[in-house]
Amino acid sequence: MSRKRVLICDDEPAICESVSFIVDQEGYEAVTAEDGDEGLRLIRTSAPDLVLLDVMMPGMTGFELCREIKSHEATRDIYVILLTAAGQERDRTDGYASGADEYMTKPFSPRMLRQRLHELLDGSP
Amino acid sequence: MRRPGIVATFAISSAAILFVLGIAVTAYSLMQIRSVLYDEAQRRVEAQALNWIEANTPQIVLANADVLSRLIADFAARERLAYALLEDPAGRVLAQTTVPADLRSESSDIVATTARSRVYGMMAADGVHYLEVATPVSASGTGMSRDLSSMFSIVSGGQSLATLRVGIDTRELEGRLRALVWTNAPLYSGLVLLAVVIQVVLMRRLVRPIAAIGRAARSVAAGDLSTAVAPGATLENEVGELVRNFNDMVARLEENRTDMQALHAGLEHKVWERTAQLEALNAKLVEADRLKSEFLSTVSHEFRTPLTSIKAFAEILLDAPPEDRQQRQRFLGIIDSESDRLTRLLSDLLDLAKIESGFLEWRFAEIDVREPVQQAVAAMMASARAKDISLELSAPVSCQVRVDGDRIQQVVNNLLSNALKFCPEGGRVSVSVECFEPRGRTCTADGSYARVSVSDTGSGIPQADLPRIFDRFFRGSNVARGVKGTGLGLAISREIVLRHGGEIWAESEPGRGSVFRFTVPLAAVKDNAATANVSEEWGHHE
Repeated sequence: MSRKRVLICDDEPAICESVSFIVDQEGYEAVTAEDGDEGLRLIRTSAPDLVLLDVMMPGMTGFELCREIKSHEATRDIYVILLTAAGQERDRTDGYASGADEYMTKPFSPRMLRQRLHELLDGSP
Repeated sequence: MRRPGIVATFAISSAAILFVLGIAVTAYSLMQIRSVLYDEAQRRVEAQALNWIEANTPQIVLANADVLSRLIADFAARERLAYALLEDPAGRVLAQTTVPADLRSESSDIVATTARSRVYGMMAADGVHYLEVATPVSASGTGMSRDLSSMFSIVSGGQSLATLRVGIDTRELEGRLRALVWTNAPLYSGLVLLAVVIQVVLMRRLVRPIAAIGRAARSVAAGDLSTAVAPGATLENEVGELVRNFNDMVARLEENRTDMQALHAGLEHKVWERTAQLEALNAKLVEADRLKSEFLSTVSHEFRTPLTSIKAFAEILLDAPPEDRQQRQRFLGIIDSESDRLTRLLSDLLDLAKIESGFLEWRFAEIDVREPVQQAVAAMMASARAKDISLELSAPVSCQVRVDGDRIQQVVNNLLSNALKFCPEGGRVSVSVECFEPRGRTCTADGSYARVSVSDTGSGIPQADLPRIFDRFFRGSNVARGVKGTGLGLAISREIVLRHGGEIWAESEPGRGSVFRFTVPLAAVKDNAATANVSEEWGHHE
């Protein structure tokens, strides 16, 4: 059985590094991208099971990328979590409007992330 | 029934008055005329009686009845008397004509008394009235002169021999009176009518302007202020004055209305203007509000980003630290540098807030602008060398300016750090200071300024981004990954330059690097002109 793959797409390298460290520690495969275009390319080529998207990125935003993912047959089933640092209500609704499965605010807690990863990828906490 | 107008009322009352007056005057006149007629009749009859008496006294003395009867009959016939009779002092009739039956006096009063006779009013059985003149026949009536007669009568005792009573049928007199009335009445009525007509005509001439004023007033009340009353406008009397005053009044009302309309239009325009102003202001406020929300959103994002790394790595190190010490150190390093980043962000944000709200304490002094520039360049030397970038300064001429030196240094520092950030290794950053005193054309408000330029050989800035690079948190579309700027440096620099009364802008061609320039006005020093650089170079202004 191959490991579950998690893609993290964020323009802050430190965040990419912290998340991929956590993902790796939990036994999954981490893939990183530092902008939306690269993220989309990697999704198509590496078929991740779960995607963590930063909302505020230059170029293609997290919302747009999410809509892209969800509008294609091949990628629709990928679980999308949107990460955002702007905590306004409108972003949450925009997030769900774009088809995201989940919404997380920054700063996030690694403990919470670990638990969520297991819930989603293992089917058990 | 509609009440009659002025003219009709006047005509009716006028006619009534004239009529009543006429009747009164006529009645009085008739009275006078009757009196005169009767008087005249009396005298005539008396004169005739006296004549007859004088002529026939001898006969009377002789008292021959037949002769007397004949004489008296002739007399009566000749003079057309109603009757005549001669009676003696005792009352016995000596001679008479036909005397109306039952003749008696109307009253015991004598109607009149003349010199010689007495006049009585008599009435007969058939109701006819007679005027009787009773003239005494005295012995003195013998053809002598009056004086002698009276002498004689005195001598003879003045006794009356007989009395001649002559009667006039008053119907004759009354008839004459009536004829008078009947001939005069039409004439008089005609005159009254003429008078009334003349008055009506005159009245109408007066009333016409008044009626015209009435109509005009109604039309003015209905809103037509162009009416003017024509009839009577030229009259010299009170009515004419009324008409002219009315016309003046209407003209003034019209003026007033025009003024009011102009005022109203003016006010409406003002209201429209003010509304437009308020709408524009409101739009600005709405925009400002939106910008504020956007700003808060961006600031929130800017703070949360480094915090995310700090929290993530701190928790990782606490719960499940990596076994590799190097990795642990690395994580701690990231926590450290992200904390620094947060600090810089906070500090820059506070700086910006202070400058914008006016709370920053500026320390202006008159200095050579080259000083803060040189200090900033010196501070950056080490970083430039570390990236193998050559950093040059060209500042041949002294420029006296009135500035806050520390803040200017902050600006140059910011521009330099940006330049070094975006300049590749081996590139070149040049700084220059120039003094401008252009002749004729004005660049800044007071026409002379110092200009500092920082140019780099980096990748340049796209044209689309140029207007926005001084905005807060703007990082550009192709900014290098992980560049740890706060995004506020240029915004702060701009605020500082603007507060000095200068301008700041950037020139760039993608692929050929960029030049950032800012100006500050020269201090007004009298003897500086000679040493100034009078180059007429014009920079690009935003």
